Parts: sequence; C-alpha cells; structure tokens
Amino acid sequence: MSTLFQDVRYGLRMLAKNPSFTVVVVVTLALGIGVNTAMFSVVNGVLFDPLPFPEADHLVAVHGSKPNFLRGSISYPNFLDWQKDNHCFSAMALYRGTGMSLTGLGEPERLRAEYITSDFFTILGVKPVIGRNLAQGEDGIGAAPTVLISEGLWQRKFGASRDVLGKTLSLDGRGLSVIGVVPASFHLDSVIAGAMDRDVYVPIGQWGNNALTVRGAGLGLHAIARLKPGVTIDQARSDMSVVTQSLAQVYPDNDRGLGATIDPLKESVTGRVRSILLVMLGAVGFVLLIACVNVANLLLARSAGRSQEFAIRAAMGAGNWRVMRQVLVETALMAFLGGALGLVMAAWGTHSALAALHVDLPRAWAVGVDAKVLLFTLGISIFAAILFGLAPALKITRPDLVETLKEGGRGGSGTRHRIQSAFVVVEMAMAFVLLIGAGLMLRTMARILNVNPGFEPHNVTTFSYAFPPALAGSSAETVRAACRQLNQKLASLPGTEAVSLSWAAFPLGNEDDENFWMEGQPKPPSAYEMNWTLTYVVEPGYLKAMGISLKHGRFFTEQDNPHSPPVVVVDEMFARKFFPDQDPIGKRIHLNNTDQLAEIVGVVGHVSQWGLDSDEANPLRAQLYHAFGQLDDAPMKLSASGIGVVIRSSVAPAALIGSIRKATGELSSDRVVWGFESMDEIISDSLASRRFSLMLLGAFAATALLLATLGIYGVLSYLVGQRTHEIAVRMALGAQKRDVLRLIVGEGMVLALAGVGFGLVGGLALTRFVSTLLYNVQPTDPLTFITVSILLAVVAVAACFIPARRAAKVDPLAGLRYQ
Amino acid sequence: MEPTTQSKPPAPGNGGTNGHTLIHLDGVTKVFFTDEVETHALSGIYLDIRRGEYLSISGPSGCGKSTLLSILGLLDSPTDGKYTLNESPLEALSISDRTRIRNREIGFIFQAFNLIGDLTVYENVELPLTYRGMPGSERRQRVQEALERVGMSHRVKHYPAQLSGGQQQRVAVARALVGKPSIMLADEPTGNLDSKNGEAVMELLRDLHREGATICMVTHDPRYADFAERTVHLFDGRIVEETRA
Repeated sequence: MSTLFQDVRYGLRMLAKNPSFTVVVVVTLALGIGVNTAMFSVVNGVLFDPLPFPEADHLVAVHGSKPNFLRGSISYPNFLDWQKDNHCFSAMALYRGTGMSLTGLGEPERLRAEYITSDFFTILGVKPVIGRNLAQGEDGIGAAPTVLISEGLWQRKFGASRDVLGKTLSLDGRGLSVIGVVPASFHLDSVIAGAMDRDVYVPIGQWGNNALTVRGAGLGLHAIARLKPGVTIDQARSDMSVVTQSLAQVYPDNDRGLGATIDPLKESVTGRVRSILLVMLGAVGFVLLIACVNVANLLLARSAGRSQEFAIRAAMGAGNWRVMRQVLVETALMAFLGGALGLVMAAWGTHSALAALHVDLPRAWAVGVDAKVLLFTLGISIFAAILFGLAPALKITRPDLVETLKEGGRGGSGTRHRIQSAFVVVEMAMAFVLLIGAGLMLRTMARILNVNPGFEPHNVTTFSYAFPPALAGSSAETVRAACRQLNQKLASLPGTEAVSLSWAAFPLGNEDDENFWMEGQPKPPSAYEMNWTLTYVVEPGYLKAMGISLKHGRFFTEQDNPHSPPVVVVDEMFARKFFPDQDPIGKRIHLNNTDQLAEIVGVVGHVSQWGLDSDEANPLRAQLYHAFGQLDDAPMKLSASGIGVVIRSSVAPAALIGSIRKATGELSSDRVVWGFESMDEIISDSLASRRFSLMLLGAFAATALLLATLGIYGVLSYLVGQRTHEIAVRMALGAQKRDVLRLIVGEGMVLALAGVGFGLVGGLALTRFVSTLLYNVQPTDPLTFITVSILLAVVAVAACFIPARRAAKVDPLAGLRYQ
Repeated sequence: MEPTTQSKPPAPGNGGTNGHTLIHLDGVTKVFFTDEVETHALSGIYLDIRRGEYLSISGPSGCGKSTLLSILGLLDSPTDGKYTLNESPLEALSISDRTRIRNREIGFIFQAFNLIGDLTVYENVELPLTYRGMPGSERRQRVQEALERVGMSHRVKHYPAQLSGGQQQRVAVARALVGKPSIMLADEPTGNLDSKNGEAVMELLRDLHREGATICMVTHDPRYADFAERTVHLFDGRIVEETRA
C-alpha cells in the first residue's frame, strides 16, 4: 500500500511538473466526460428515473381509440362508464387543458388551467400544500364550484397566506372557491407529455360546455389510471376491451368501433424523445472514445520522452507490473481530475444548455446530478483511465533496455508510431460517423424547411383573446356582435391586411375533427362508420390572412351567417378522398355534430396540420372549413372565453403586438390577450425536437471533429519532431520544401483517408439507428457521405499543414547535427 | 607527401577558375553569432578543387572541417567570400536553386550513414532521384547500377536496421553516386566503422575516384587522408598546409 501512495505522490509530482501537458489532458478528458455526464444526467432524469409518484409503475395513460386516432379523446359519459365498469383500475381520472381569465385580483390575467375529475391528484399521490383534494362527487356537473390553485399562484396572488382557503377566484367571470394549493414540486409534464405547469385545477363539471354530456363528443379529454395491485397492463387492456365492447352494444351510435388504448404513463410521457436521447447518448460515447484516443496518443508521445526513465527503473529491478502501475496511477489521477472537472461542467452547463436551446424536453426539470450520475461519472472516469492509459502502459513494459539506454532517451520507435497512427485512424473514423449523423440531421432539417406548409407564414401574427367575463352569460347574438367588433377593430390597425377569428383546429396547433356522411346516403349506424375530417371554423379573411390558395369555387363571405344556408369549404385532400374524379362544388354533406346538411362552395389548398414532417404520415388529413358566422349558438357562446385570432400585416408581427394590445384595450379593459406568436415561430416551435437533435448531434460532431483534428495535428507534430533528422537528410539529398510538405501532408492524409474509409463502413452500419429521426433522407444519403468525406479530408489537410510547414522549415544543417 | 602552399590569397591573375576547376572558393569566411559572441569558424579560405580530384580535409576537432564541407555541400552559406561551382557563382542563389544544385551536383556520404530507417535499401538509394522527377524506369536502372557498383544489389529489399555498419555505409555511397554528381562530399565516412569495414569503404571510394569521381573527404585519420591525392590541413578556420600524395 505504501508503494501505491508513493506512486500517487510521484504521479502528482509528475502532473505538477508538466502543467501544460496536464492541463491539455485534463481539459480533453473533462470535455469527453463532461458531455457524457451531461447527456447521461438528461437521459437519467428524463428516461431512467421513475416518475415522481408513489408506485409510479402502476400508473397508466388511457385514451379512446378511434378510427383515426389510436390515442384520441374520451367522451365524459364514456369515461363515467369506464370508471364504473372496469375491474383493473383502483382509480381513474380525466383531464383536459384549457385557459381561463382571472379577474378581480389586479390586472386581468390569463391562467393555465386543467379540468380534472376528483381522483386526479389521489391517483398520483399528490397532497396539497394546504387544504384538500377534490372529494368524490365534487367534480360532477352541478356540484359546488371549487378550484385548486398552484403554489406559484398562491404565493403570487395571495402572498402564500393560509387564508386563501375558501376565498373565491373569478375565472372566466365565474366564482370558484379555493379548496387547496397544489405543491410546486408537482409538474404536469410528468403526467402529460410536454404539458406546462398549470395555475389552476378546476373540476370538469364546472366547464359549462353542453357537449360534455354528449357521448359522441370529442372534447380533448384523456385519462390516467392506477392499476390495481397485481394487475398487469395486458390484463387491463383485456378488461377495458370487454368494457368498451359492452358499451358499443349499448350505445352503437357513438361507441361502435371505439376502444381504449392503455400505455404505461412513463412511456406516454417520455416515449417521443426516447430514441433521440438514446441516439445522443451513443453519440457522446463516441466523443469520449475520441477524447480517450487523443489522450492515449499524447501519453504515448510523452512515454517516448520518458522511455529512458522507465528503462532505468527496469534496470534497477522494477518489474513490468510495477512500472505499469506507475503509469496507470498517473493516468488514473488525470482521469479523476478530468472527471471532476467534467462533472462541474455538466452540473453547471446542462440546465443552461437546455434553457438556451429552448428544448421541448419532457421532465427537463428532473435533469440534475444525483447519485446515479455521480456513479456514472466515476465509472466512465475509470473506464477512460483504463482506455487511454493501457496503450502507453503496455508499451513501456516491452522496452529494449540496451537500445533505450544507449539512445539516451531519444525514443521514437516504429511501433509507437504505428499505434499512434492507428489511434488517429480510429478517431477520424468515429468523427466521420458523428459528422454523418449530424449531416443527415441537417439534410433532414433542410428538407423539412423546404416543405410547403400550404400557407404563407411570413408576417402572420396569431394570438388568443378572451372577451370580458361579463360577456360569458350573454346571448350568442351578443357574442357574435362582440366578435364582429373585435374583427373590425383589428382590421383598422395600421399595417393590417387581413384578419380572421379562428375556432376549432389550427395548423400546427389545435386539433379538432368531426364526422359526416354524404347527402343521398343513409346515415351510418355509428360514428365509427362515418367519414372523418379535420374541422376549422374561420372568418372570410382567413384565406388571405393565412395565405392559403383558393383552388376552386369561393371562400366564405359576410353573407354566410346564421340565417343563410349552411356552407362549407373543403381542401384538396378532402376533395380527392371523398369526391374522386368529381367536382365537389355544390355537393352537400350531413354534419353529424350539428345535424346539418351543408353545401360545399369552395376548394382550397391543403395545409400541414400535423407538422411539416409528419403531416403525410397522419391518417386524418382531409380538411373542412366552417364559416365562423354560421357557428351554432352554443359554441358561439363558449367562444367568448377564448378564441384564436390570425392577422396578416405589412409590418413584422413583433411590431404589431403593442397596437393589438392597445386596440383591444380600447374595446374593454377586462379583456385578456395572450399567446402572441408569429406563424414563423409556430413553425419553428414545431421543429424544436428536431432542432434539438440537430444541435446536439452537431455539437457532438463538431467536438469530435475538433478532437480528431487535434489528434492528427498532434501526431504529425510529434512525428515531425521525431523525424527532424530524417527530414534534414532528405533535404540534404535535394528534397525541396514542397517535397517535404507533400511527404508530411501525404502521410497525414493516408491516416485521414483510412479514417474516412473505416468511417464509411461504420457510418453505413450505424446510421440505421437514426433512420427514425430522418425525413425524406436515406440513412445512406450519398450527398451527406460525399460532403462529410470532403469536409474531413479538407480539415485533415489543414491539420497536417502546420506540422508539414514546420517540417519544410527544417534547416538541413541543423537537422543533420541532431543525431 | 610533399608540402605545398599555405592558405593565402592567390597571386593576381592566378585566382580564377580554369578549365579543370570544379570548385573555387575565394576568401570564404564563416562567422557564427551566438549571444553577442562571434565565432570565426572559417577565416579566408581559398581553395580550388579540380574535376576528378580526390581531396581530403583534415585537422583537429573544431578547426572548421565540417563547416567547410557544409558550405561546399550548399548546406550552409559563407558569411563572406565567393563560391563558384562549375564556373557558376552560388552566392545569390535562392534556397530552392541551392537545393536543386545540391540534388544534381553533390553527393553526400555521412559519418552516421543517415539512411532512412523506414525505407528499404532500394528506396534509400532511389531517394535523390525521386526529387529530380526522373522517370521510374530510369531510376530503376540507375539504382541497380549504383547498388551493383558498391556490391549491395542483393540487399535491395532490406531495411537499414538489417544491415551491418559497413553495409549501411556502402548503401550510403550508392545513394551518393546514384545521381552522378559532380562531386561527392564525405564527412568522416569511416568514423562509425571498425577498421575492416573502414578500409573497405575507403577502397570503394578510391575505386570510384579511379573511375573518375571527384571526392572531397573530411577525416582526421591520417591513414585515410593518405588515400586522397591532396590533403588540406585546417587549423582555427584557416588552411595552414596542403600536401600532395
């Protein structure tokens, strides 16, 4: 043990003696270990850690499976029946996100709200900070109006006073009594993928939407449930299958073809980023390997300088293991220093990076350094120490003592050069693979950005608007008049070119659908057998505001009002699907929701509803437009609590926001406007996870390229230093500077091209793992492979050029003296 | 041996080159400046070397032998004086031109052989020719001839480390003569060899001279200096004596 301490002391002295070498090695390792620790902390927080609820593996997400959606919404009546009839869940709860205007507590404010049923928090095991959860029956229609508020809102609006319990909050003009405060430690994105934390949780019975009691209504309601002890998820699926089939017999009109999709809650929350994160974890593994190879090369170079020291030790009787241990102790010290610095970098940088990247990452708040991350860092530090320390350690165990002692430590054997060259080839190959991954992502992004969304996004502003709460109890006609007034006010703003209010679906945002059947055909026995379409409710200005093309017929006019015959406009996809080889203009369809017969008066271009990269993959693409002016009284009244607005302007969206706030404020000081976003931003946000993959993989590839470049530069620099004499001989024999340049660059390029060759093979083998992240780009995309090959070759030439120039400047006379 | 002239400026009208003169040094000096100290390695060297001559340069350590050889081999430039090779003045040449002349006109034989360890015997000998851009077929013929001339043609695929010191120096001699240079400069060619191998190399050089090669050899061994037709003795950077065999 004492000799080990001696080795540690000597190792520390050696590190201190060569500070620049130590710094280079430690920083290189810190970079490799740091990005791995950071990525692992993300993967650990998001994927590996269980959800922060008791017995979280018993939690499941429940959706209604419909003809077009495997994970569609559940109607409230069906939910009540599922809750009552199932034998697999100890409890079920429904939820639906919404927004509500808070008035009476300072400036009117738009709050994030979630409609829930009674068991929502009890299923999750979340206890209020103060107060209580919803009691059974408190969530029903007609129950006393209650609300749970978030700890944040409690602190912000009530100064964290316990007196809040029993106080009334005015939400959308209705008074709800506060019964509890939800702890800040509860994050909704542990339940719903990508959900932001809510300000208020309102019993669903308080919604006031008449459609809530309609069994066939798709209102965006989804459920969570807790499996009974001992019940597996497959058993739950079977049980719910029995339940839904039974309901289909009782309510064939609405429930025929309807099923229940049950997913583990963890998978539901994190499933969409799982493959991305695992690919990234693999990618940073490459970065660590490259860092280790680089350090191994540096150590090999240094061991050449220390070969005489090791030979003397061996000559003094030190055994192979004893000398090897000395080297391994030094490498372990460097690895631990690198690991510690990497850990600091990861702990400090991960959250900053996630924030800077605007990543739409579920459970990002759970990312941090915990015991598992510390263990991981320790593990990879040891792994790195073995990996980069082994080659130099093994090398010194086979010294030619006589020659080494004679050489006086000049060293520089051919074997060492070959190992170093092999290392360079390996790191170039790995950098190539990462660059291919980043290149494919870049090509994918370029392809997606070239997709025509079907609308013209520039200078289009969208936002949400809630009329004053006083309007909530007004007649539909009053709301219609308020909508007209809002439209006119916005249309009069300088720079405004077109305005439309919007309800139901919105491209890359809200989703809404409805079913119908053709005129002249019998009504299908169930909704399942009807035709499905996306549904948009818009004003005449919508087409111009969004920049959607009119293909045929006409769009809506002010004359399309509640008193005129119902008309609809369809998109090309709708026309092709339901009226192949026919002109849909003049045809009429039965709308199931409103039980109206509506005439198709126009055909417009298709817009990407589901995303630029995923629209084609979605089975529900047909699009149907209703005239906002013809909206039924019930939904018209509901729209008072929140409606979308889209404006095309001649000025940039950012410049319009102030005048929108001012103009709407002139209509009423109690109005709430929120959620300003340009269509360009909406498109950009829709690509957030792709951008995340691209930026991460790009950063890793750039790091790998930098390390590999430093590697090839370092090895060539070292070789040039070792070959000064040889170069001098060549120059004495007549080699011009260009001959020497060609010689060194050529040798570097042989290594680089070998790396490219192996990288090609590796790339072809490994890119299939990113195929799910690609869009309209083959994993073997020739352009990417060729471009990356050229890029790597050019970078390698640049890296070779500096040592080559130094070689070309060798003074042959001085070089020949260097013997 | 017969003592001849000491190093001094030639008489007027007698200092230029004549038809047989290959190298003419006219008042060549070399001063090294280090840490504000001037070291006069060569002080006014006047020397002619005729075509086909076998000249040796001798003197004690530090007398300037190697510096003189470096200047003759265009590896270094004189601080002052004129150097004429094949009637061409060399003072104003660019580095590139000096390299080209070195490659075509001068063959080097070093004390430490200076073969490149990663190249085979064949490749080592071929090296000066590759820098001339000579066609491969001609290179092959020349290399073969040179190796046959030194008796090493049976070792073309060997690496230097697989040869004895004597064999390595024979390969070095082949490399020096393969380019058919105007002059071969040998710097202590037997310094790293035992007496038997040293003798063999000296015999080889004498044979080459007899076949017409011009050789200028630095040595401090009087036995080997006697192989030359003429010996110049250096002391403190000056030619102090010249003897003929």
